[in-house]
Amino acid sequence: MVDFVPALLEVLRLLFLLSLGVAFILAAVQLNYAYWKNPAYLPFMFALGLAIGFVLKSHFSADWSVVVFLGVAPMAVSLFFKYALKGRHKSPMYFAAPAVVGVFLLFMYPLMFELYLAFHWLNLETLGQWIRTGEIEFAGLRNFATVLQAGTETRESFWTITGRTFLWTGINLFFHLTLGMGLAILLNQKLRFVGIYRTILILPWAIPQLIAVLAWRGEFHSTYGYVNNILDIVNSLFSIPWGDGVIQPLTWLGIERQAWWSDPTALFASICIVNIWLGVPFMMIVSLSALQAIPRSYYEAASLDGASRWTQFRNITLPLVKPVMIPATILGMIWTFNNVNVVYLMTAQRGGSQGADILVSDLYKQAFFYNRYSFSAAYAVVIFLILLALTAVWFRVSKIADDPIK
Amino acid sequence: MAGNHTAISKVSPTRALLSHIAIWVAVIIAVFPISRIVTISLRPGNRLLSSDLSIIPADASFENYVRVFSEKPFLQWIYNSLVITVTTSLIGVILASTAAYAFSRFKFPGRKSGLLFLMMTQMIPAAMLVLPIYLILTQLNLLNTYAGMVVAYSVTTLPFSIWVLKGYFDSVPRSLEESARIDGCSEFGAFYRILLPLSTPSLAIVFLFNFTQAWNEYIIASTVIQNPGLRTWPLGLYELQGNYSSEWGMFAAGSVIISIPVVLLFLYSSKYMVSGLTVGGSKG
Repeated sequence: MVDFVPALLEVLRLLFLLSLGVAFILAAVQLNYAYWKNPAYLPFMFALGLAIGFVLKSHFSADWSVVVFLGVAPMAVSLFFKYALKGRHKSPMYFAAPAVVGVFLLFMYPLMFELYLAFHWLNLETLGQWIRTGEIEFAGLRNFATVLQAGTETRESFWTITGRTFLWTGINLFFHLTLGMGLAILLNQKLRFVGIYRTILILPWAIPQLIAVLAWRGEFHSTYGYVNNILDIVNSLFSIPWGDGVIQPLTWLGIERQAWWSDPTALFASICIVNIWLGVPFMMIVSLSALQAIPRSYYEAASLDGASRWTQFRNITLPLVKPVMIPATILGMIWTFNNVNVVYLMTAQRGGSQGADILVSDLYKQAFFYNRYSFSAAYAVVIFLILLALTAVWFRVSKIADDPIK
Repeated sequence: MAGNHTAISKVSPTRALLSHIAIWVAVIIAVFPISRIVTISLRPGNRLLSSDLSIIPADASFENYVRVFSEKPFLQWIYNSLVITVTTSLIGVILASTAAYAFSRFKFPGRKSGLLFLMMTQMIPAAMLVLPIYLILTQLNLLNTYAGMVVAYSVTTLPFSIWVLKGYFDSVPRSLEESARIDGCSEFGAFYRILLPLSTPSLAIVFLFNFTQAWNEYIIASTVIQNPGLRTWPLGLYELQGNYSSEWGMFAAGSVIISIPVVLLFLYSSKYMVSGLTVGGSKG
């Protein structure tokens, strides 16, 4: 039967750690406000930083990443309080600090640690030693060199996977946008049952992703899955006798029964199909809400002036839908690029690289199937740089500067 | 439907027919894969592997539903998932709403860079943070604890929640809080007694968003949790589908049971969720 205790104990431990953290952050804010004017404030905080670093290094033999990170923290905090805040802005500090400082620490520290790993040798052999003594050998740039090297048996070349990731992002985004917009336009008409249709069409988005993906994966089984069987049925229903043989429409188009699980190209295609199926409803709902915000009078005026439907679409719909669609598209792009779930779940049971991985799913497998910790860390840093370039695009387009308070 | 008054008014019969046909094709593509899960869950154990395409199998039985409860700790998985999900969502809403209040109502040094930082965290895939978090937790001996899992979740969901809530708070007029302040309300009081009650819908959305994220999370949980007693439902169901041929039916039955409440909740809230996403994403 259900054992209620372990999970509750875990939650208690979690709440304890959390309240400790929040209390610490709030107390730190309070103390800094109390003492920032004191002439000994800056020297004290700098000495505190050095002391923290020293103790961590000598008594806990912590990594340099921890030492630098926690040692520099009090110094940075003191400079911020002394020269930026100057005793003002008390309430926003109390309100924002727990979440922002928490996220900052929990986010920056793993990143720093990843950077540290990328320049050292950590794998299954050195893991035990690292846990016991905290020491691992310096590797320099050699992990990065391995990342960019040609592929091996258990690892495709980095450039192949990068190319596939961009192909993946492009294909998915294209179909999400066109199918989502198309359905939204169809649903934005005066038709019967539109509300019911909309509800049904959201289902792929509503169902838990893990369930949808695992179910789809089963259906790509070459004998028992419906994908191949439906291809057969369509072929036999619509086969046309032609000369001596029979033309089967799908086979003629080049769509055939596939060994979806073992053939890399078919596997990649199947993952794309699943992800397109999953992602269309989001774009559909976003475009629908954008379409419904366009006043009908615009179209009436345009048709009075004799504008065709296509002209109306190009000159009224598209420009008015753009402000909503651009952020949604960029969000979708980042989500697709980073989509480890779908690719991993579709490919995981067949081990490592099978010619269908994208960057993030390959990264995950290198780390947890092959336990190449340092290699994966270097890999992650490279992916991070690619993402940074994408982020720059995001900021340019989403106009973060348009802000009510200026 | 609310949007009908803005829809294009006259639809010719041919156009309507074509639209219905196109939508029906989409409906079938959307529903068929889902209906298959129901079909498989109803198949008796000796007929799980079959290329049969009928929606309700001729010899339908609830055998798989009974088995998933009796042979697997299915209730334990759901209970574990519920405990961790409710806790993380509550923590998320509390921390996100206070931070969003600061970002929405105050001007202070570091405000813009703070917002930028929060947005930047969204660009980093969780897969990238999993490895360092896993190694740090190994070193701290925190593997197999929910604390480690929640850390990984909140790093990704908190910033997003803050952005969404900030978008909503920006749209609530400030005059109410200002008059409350004049009447002697404290800053926290203005937030807690005035702004929060006014933003209940948006808080509910953020709660739901956190809830679905944590409820459906698999990747992080699979690396951090090994203790069977602490397994969440995604880990359990993945295991069932792992040895595919034999447990396929139980997987489907479990999936149906888990999906029904989630799907209903989602259908109910999806409209608000989208407005939350677009407000948070575009208006900043």
